[in-house]
Amino acid sequence: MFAANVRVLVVDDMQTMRSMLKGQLRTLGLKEFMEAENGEEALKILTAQATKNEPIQLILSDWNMPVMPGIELLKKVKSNANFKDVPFVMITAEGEVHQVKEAITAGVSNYIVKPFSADTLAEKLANVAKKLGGG
Amino acid sequence: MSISIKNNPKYLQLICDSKSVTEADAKEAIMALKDIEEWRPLTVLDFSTADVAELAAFRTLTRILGTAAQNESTVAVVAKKPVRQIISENGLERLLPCYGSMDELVDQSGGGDPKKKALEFLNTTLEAVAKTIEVTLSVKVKAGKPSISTVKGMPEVDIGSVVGLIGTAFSGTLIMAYPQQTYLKIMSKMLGETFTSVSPAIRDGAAEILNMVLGQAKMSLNEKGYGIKQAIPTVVQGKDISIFSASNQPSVIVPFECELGMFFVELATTRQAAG
Repeated sequence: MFAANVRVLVVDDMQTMRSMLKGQLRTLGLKEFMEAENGEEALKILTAQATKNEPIQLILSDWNMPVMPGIELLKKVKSNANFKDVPFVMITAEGEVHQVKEAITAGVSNYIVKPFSADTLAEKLANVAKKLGGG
Repeated sequence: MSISIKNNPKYLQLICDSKSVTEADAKEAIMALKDIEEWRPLTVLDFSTADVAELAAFRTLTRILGTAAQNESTVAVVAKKPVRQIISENGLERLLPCYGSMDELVDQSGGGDPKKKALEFLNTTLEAVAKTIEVTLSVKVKAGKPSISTVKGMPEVDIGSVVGLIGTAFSGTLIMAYPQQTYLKIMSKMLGETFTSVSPAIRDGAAEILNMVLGQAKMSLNEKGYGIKQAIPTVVQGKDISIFSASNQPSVIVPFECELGMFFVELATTRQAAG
């Protein structure tokens, strides 16, 4: 699993979902969170945190959001030399095959279809951490 | 192999006339689809004359999924049992759903009995409601007896969420609504803290739950060719929330019960004339 001090950016236009995710992440031992309501806001936070030398180390993002959807955020993150190595997990109600394929092609680290249990989140994040060599 | 294309308002049928399906045949089928200018909600790869097939043929055919998706079309295969087995045993059935005949496919994808389709639409949505609540909150839910609403709305509900369903076979409106006490218990369980009023911090939870329900239902229905598009739910608050259908179609109300209390689902559908 990720270390407790990993800085997580939770991106979802629904406040309830952001709160639920943060609660589940806390039970997994994570402590540092930042929140964004859409992709555009997320990019600003990513840039600001990098400037402060306190970079975001894990992104959990919804797909369907106003202003900038999660898939566009994913593509922008993966095409930016400063952020491309930040693990990006898509958490979305969009689970159709072509959408999963689009996210995989864009470089998503893992994909969680809503509704999901806390166990599923833990398992998927553990897989991402394992791929990174222990987070 | 000879290839011919039948263009129906509801589907595009690529008829591949051959006793066996090879990788070369699959490439030929892909080339034939490249020339399509007007896609339909459903693309049918009809291999019903074939008795055998190479697995590589179907792996190759998965390449058309992206193009089909870009053109808002889902892909299905019609084939005899031995060919369908090759697809299912190699885990390709989720990508290429299979049917034994065109009749079976049409019956399951919006072209069959409208009443049967409406029931399938309703049942799939209700299954999605149960799954969403059970997975998110770890509680069992039980659906009660459905009733038809024509004038009066759902009794004793205080908050809910509404979303428009837009599809090729059906369109409609879906509401999930809760008495305040049920909603507070659901949000308290979902977020791991106790809420005593519907504050702004938990108001959009009703929309998030419905968003998950719609996502689930959409996945199942679109595999059957319903072509449902994702839409963003809106939260509604107030007594006697109800659908007021512009077409005066009655809606179906289904009560659900779980350890956190009762809640209600209301669904109104209208069949699309052009499929």
